[in-house]
Amino acid sequence: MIKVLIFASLNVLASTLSIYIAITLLRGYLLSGQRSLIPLASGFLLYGVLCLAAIAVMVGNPTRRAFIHTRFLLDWLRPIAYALILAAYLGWPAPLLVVLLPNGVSAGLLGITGVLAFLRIEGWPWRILTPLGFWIIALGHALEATDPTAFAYAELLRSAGLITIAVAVSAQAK
Amino acid sequence: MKYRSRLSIIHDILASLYEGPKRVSHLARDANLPVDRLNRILEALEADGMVGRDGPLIYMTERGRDAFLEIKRVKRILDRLGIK
Repeated sequence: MIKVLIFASLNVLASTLSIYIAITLLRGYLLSGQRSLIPLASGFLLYGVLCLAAIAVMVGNPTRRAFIHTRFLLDWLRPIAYALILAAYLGWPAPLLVVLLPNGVSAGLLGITGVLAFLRIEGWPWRILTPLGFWIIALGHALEATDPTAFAYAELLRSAGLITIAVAVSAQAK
Repeated sequence: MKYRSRLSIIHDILASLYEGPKRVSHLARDANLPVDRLNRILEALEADGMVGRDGPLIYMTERGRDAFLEIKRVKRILDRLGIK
């Protein structure tokens, strides 16, 4: 029960922060007209919504059929969210590999994105926090790639990674 | 020369106007933009109600001030994601 509560709380936090970032980026697009913000915002929005879907799978005790359908949705839609976010780092069409290829590839691309973020970000602690978030998410995918039954732990790692990124980008600077 | 996104350019213009009204030439120097390009952007910002003109001076409206704070927040997110 405690495990479920921790899982649900982490996912709610990850979802809220992700949707907050998405809305802020969309406002930025509306104010500046910078179109490159749209895929990035859409990626965070989709990811945020999917975090809620993951709670439904883990906590809601759904029927076997609903569980399979939601897992199917997560497995297909989450890579699309990654692709939209990673495009800002890798450029198109590289992120499409995340959608078309399995978990191991997602882990690899997320790892590379973490390295790119580390090289591009100036100032501490963001320089290490943001890449760390990408690497934790990559770890979640790597775990699921090696052991498909470890969905709950992979999900936990993915939420923790997203929270790390979201906290890094939304925390107030001194 | 470093590439600047449209968001960064608007941020730099509004950051300069946040200090107080400016002439176009002064603003062009602060935002590091050619005057003709700055004028095109100012026209768009004026149409959106973010800036106004008072004779030769360009000033920031209340809406512009709110927009500036919001753009600052977006820029901070992009900087910390490592996206220019």
